[in-house]
Amino acid sequence: MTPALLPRIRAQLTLHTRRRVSGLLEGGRSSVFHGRSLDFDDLREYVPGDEIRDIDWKATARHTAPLVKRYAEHRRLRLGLVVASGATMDALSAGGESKRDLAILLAGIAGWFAVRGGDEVCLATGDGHRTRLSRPESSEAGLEHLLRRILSQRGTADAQTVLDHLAWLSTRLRRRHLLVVVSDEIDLDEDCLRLLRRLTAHHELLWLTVAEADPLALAAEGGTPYDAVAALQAAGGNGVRVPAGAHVPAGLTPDARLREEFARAEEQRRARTHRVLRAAGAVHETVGRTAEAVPAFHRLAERHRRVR
Amino acid sequence: MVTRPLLPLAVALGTLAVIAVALALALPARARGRLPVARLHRLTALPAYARVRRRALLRGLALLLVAALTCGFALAGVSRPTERETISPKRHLRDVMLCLDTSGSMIGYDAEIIEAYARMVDSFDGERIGMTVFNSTAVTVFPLTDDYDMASEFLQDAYDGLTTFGTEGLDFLMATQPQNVPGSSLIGDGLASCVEAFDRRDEDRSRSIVLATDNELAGTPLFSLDEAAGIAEDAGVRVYALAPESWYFTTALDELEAAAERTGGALHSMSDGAAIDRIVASVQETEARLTDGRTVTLFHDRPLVPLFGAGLGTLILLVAAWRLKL
Repeated sequence: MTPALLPRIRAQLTLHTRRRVSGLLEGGRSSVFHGRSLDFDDLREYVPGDEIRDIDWKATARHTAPLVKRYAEHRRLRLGLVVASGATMDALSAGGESKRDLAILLAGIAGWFAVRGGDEVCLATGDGHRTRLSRPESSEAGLEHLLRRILSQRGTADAQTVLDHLAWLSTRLRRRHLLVVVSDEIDLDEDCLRLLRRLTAHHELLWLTVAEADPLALAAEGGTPYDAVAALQAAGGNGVRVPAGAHVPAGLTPDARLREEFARAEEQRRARTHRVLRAAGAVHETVGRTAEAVPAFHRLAERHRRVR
Repeated sequence: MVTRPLLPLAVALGTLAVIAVALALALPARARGRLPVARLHRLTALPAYARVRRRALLRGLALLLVAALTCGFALAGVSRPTERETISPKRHLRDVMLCLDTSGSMIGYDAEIIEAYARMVDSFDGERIGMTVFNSTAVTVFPLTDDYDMASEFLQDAYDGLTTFGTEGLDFLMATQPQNVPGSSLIGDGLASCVEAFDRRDEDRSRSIVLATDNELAGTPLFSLDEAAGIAEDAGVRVYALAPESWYFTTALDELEAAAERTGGALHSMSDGAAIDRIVASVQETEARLTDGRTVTLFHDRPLVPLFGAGLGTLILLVAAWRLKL
């Protein structure tokens, strides 16, 4: 039995929020996660992800399919965690820890604020084959359960990214959600803009990127970085595969030109990601290590508040 | 070749090496417990990365080559390389002394003999040559030497002196007949003096005298020819006598021949100028034949090249290990 995940996350929060940002986040968050509204709007058919308690049993009894009560949406903003759980998450982050652990921490922070405010949290993540959307949870135990789902995918061969989850969600999420996306550095270009814009039209989109480890820096320190998963070589499109287990040899002679070229390419890619997300209307922050998680989350929340 | 008791050991070590290399190649990087990263293709797709990897590969191959060469040199050094040298000391251990009678009866032939000698010096290589003239007393013209330029000069001067009867070049006539020594043509004394002119008595060398005389004694020598031959024999010197042909004084020539043969030499008679060349050649041939069998085989250790190579290779490997922080 693995130790519970939430206490660690709470410890991080008390550590960082004691001084300055607690009040700020409360403000930002409270406006985001409203309590349950009583303004009944209409009835519609049940879709996965709807709360059981929203089902209008009496109306359902007169109908062939379950019906749920719909309230005024702007007051019913639910937190939707969209977390990458594929094979790439088992690699190292820029800070040298597992990207999966860092993603769990980030999802846990967001979820904990929601749960503490009495709001619901649902999780969309891969189960190894396709996207799964969880039931909404509003308790700490439920959040712990959600986080364990991310953890349980450790060692998977899943090649899905958050883009697959978001594409799946874009046609299924009816209610307005606050979507917090936790992903590693996937390739985001202008082709994704359509999908992202569709999402931001219906939902609030906050994007947290878990920064990748720099293989050159690791090799220079004497490590042997190897590719945790086989990946199609996107650049150039020549279809050359980097086989699983391909590695950068330890002590590869530090070459100024290579380092420069790699840094420039990475810089361009990150700038493009940022540009795409901003164009789509999403708020974006990057986290490299545990110590950066809470401050980055605070910045994200504050920027989100300003944007609205 | 590996000796028989070590053969199984060599086979076992070779098998182990092959297994180790196969294991190292077969194990993926993951199994060696290294750092997992994602999306490595963003680095590996760069042309600069391909260049760096190619360079690393070439460097690795070069180091492997250096290591192999070092091992080869070390093995060569361990096997103690020697160089076998067979020396035939016939030439460098040969001394030839020209012993010339300058008495009145020989004066007509001496120029020819010297001329032949001057020609012979050109064909020498390593032998030492000396010259002594005698009449009533012996004079060393030049001691045993391999400085052929000097020998040629002296022979030229001697030739001039003999052809002009002392007005040019070296005057042997006056020098070899001092007033206080009675008699002339003291052949025994001359031969004994020539024998005494040999140096390096402790070395095992081939020594020969070309004694040009007609053995016409005029006076009372300290040593008779026979006694002088005895001295020569004791000193291991062979005497090759060279006498003008004579139909009247055969007893003198017989005595000369007996003396020469006693020392292991022979008597040659000279009838014309060309005969002298022939005689000198025959003297050389005889000496060569007599000393030919003495060959010495030497083994020299030659560890310098392999040890230097192994040391240099080790140095390169150490520097490479330091530079690459292995």
